[in-house]
Amino acid sequence: MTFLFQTDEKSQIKKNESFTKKFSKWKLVRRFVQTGIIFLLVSPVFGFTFFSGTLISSEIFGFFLTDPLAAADYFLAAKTFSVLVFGSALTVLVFYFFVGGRVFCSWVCPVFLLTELSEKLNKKFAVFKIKPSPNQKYFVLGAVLVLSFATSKPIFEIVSPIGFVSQNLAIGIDTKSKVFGDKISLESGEIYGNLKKNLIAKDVERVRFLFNGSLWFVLTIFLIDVFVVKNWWCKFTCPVGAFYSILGKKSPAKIKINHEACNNCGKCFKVCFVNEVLIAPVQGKSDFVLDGSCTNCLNCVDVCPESALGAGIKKDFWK
Amino acid sequence: MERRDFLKKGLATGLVTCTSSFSLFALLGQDNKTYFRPPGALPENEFLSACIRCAKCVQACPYDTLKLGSVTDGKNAGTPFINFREKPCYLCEDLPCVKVCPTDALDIKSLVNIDLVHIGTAVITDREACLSLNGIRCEICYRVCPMIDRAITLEKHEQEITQKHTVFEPVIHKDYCTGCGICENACPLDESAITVLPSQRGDKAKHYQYLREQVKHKKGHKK
Repeated sequence: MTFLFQTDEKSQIKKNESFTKKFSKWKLVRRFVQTGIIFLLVSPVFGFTFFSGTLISSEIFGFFLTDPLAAADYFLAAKTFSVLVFGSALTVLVFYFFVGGRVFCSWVCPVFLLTELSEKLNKKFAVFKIKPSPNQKYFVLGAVLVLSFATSKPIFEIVSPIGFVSQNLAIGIDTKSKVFGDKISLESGEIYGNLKKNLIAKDVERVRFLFNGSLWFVLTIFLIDVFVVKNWWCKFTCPVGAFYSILGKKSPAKIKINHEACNNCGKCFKVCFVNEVLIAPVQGKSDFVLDGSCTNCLNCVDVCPESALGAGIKKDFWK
Repeated sequence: MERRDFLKKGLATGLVTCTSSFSLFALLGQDNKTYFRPPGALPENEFLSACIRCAKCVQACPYDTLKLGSVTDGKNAGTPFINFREKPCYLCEDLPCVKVCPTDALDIKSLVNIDLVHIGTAVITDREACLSLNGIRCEICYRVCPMIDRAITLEKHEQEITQKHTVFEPVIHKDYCTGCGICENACPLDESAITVLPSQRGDKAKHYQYLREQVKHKKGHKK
């Protein structure tokens, strides 16, 4: 009897859960944007000309865009000033200020997709459970800027997994083989030197993958994320994330909470990437998620059964 | 259960330390490999601080000449370089790689004329292997040179072995050589006998060049 009762109860709960589980609309939109960004980075391979470049610096419809941290690193390392770099970084800066700083992380950055995958794998395969301070990323940001100035090299750009992934997406796929075989045959140099190679290149019409060794570094980060520290890179280390966290603190785009509707079920904590930012608003201390570390991924909005959370605009954002 | 846990821990630690130490060593490893930069690049040290590793130049190269450094290239990770033996630089007149550079690490202002590019200088590095110097009429490097009769000329002298034939020695003239590497790419030997080398001179060598510059100045830059 007890056995039967238990199963009954369990199925009941399951039914209820499936009933209350909301359709995650925002997650779908976010996945759409993330894959869109990847297609944008790969698009020059397929002959589209409106976009070129990587997430460090790119050109879209003739507009230059530069990652503000890369620009800062460049100014400190090269010790020069460039109007083009400053202007293009400012464009990006203003855009992310109004949509919420770390929107870059959850909606644009391809490394975040890997982090989300590692988060799922971490639940099963986590071996060590180390939890660093979430403020660590600000120290990394400071160190990057100081080191860039001291060594005269853009330190973060040399080791940036964001750069590595977007570089490999942008130039890692090569469909030019045939076209360039024809082009080269016009050049006298090739006819003498690599006649054989050239003939082969002409016949070949296929896609080549030229991914480089930088992906080892990305794999390292992924493995650390899975086995050692959950979300090690994106949550605790990435200086770009730290930069946008500072920017997002005063941003008008914030997650809004309706205190009357909230029933303290705690579901939002489970899906949130940086869940310590939700403590203050859920306890009723503020109407918005004020911490800059919030990535505006809207997972909490999707999961909230009472619709207490929602995307909102903070009108007095400068305060 | 304990043993399984131990294995799991060991495997995870092994994996993480292996990959992280690999990338760390690769990153710190300094080798003396010379990286040849695209046309118009700033001097090497300035280039490394100005290049923000956006890979736009590599993307813009129509010939796939430019390659991108990876983590295994240490501080050169993400920077463009040329491997002449794989593909030389054809010096496009519209300079697609230089135009897209956002930080002027490839400086368009320094490029008044594409013929004045100075990626490096070709040098006959293997005189024993060079076919032309062995008395065979190879001369491929001379024929393929876009600056034929200016950057590479053929100097005739007597072949020592037979004392009947002529050796046509390819001689490279630094003032005209752009370092595009077409000759290095075209050399029919397994290991190219003609190689592009970086063309920075030491202070002393510059001093010795003084007289040469003076004479050239007096004569005018002849074509």
